[in-house]
Amino acid sequence: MDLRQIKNLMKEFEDSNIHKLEINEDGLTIKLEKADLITPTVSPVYSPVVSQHNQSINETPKLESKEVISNNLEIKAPLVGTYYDSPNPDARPYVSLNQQVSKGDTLFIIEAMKVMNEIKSPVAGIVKAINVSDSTMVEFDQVIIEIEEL
Amino acid sequence: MFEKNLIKFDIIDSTNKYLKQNVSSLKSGTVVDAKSQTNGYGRKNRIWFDNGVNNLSFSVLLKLPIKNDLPVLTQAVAAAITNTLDLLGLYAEIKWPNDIIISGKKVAGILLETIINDDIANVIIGVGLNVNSTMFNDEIKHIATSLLIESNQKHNLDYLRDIIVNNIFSNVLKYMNDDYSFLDICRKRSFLIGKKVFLDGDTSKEALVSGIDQLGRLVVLINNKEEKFYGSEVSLKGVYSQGEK
Repeated sequence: MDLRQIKNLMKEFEDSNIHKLEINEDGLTIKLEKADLITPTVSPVYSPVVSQHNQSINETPKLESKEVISNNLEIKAPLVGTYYDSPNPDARPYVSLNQQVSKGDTLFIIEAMKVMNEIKSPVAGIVKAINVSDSTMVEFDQVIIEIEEL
Repeated sequence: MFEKNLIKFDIIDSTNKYLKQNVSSLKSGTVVDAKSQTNGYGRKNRIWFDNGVNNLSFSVLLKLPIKNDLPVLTQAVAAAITNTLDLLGLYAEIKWPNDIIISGKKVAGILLETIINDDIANVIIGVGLNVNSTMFNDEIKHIATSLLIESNQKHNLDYLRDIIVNNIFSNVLKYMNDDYSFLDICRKRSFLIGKKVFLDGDTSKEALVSGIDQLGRLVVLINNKEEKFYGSEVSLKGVYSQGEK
């Protein structure tokens, strides 16, 4: 089971009338429990992504339904890794605040295990927020950049 | 999901770059082969590799549904290369995450780049393999080798490329079906397991490599505490440090 499936499971659980759920599968144990019948808590024993700086995704993941609603499109990290704002240390950042971007423009890179992952803009818009500093670790699904769609 | 389609160049700046620049118009399974690259690149300098006509340098484009464990594909490619070298009777090891080693020297390197567009990962797999080079200069002869040096015979570049690509396709299909059995090869052929290393190029970050986990991450013991490492920089303590990360 990967993180996406776990997140889907959490959503299904949140929407259900079940208050407690435990799954054992291939050495992976997931326990979901709704505290006070409102907030689900998650304690995945399995942690597919752990940074070398002792950051861990074992923390209770944020639920997307709880995020502040804005008109900005959130560009998230598709995997755990190191965030880079430019193609190499000597180059200018791909994008800066309030910059207009076209659909398909490269926004940033996430590197993991020597795989360089270029993230493209899915829309044309204006960069309204850059939430991460260059060369820092990011987690799966962490919001990196917010774009106001044009 | 992908169908092999070969494009050959006599000379090109970089096969990975060509695929990146033409990613939208090329089909999944496109292989770009260059007799010579003028600006082939790895993450660091590439002094181990001879970009000349004696060696193999090619890139493969795959268009895959996105999964959050994409970096494990480097291990799928590494296993594909060691399997191919087995056919030649050459015992190769894998220095996690992306170097192929024979007799303690680097013979091949892998560079994966992905371009993520909505829910599709355009995966570009670059492979450089020293095949028929006969000698290296003094600066690198201690860290680099070739198939010719190791086997005392020349090898056909097209034949080798085709087998490696077929093995890559086979392992990528397994990956798409959540079958990560290629990691067993990476464990058996690990050049690092059981050795002490430095992480992130930091000599104060000493670790003992204990394994490779189910997602291809390096499992290390730091002060007897187990951690999963998915960074890039792993230097062997004491040896094999010059020009090699």
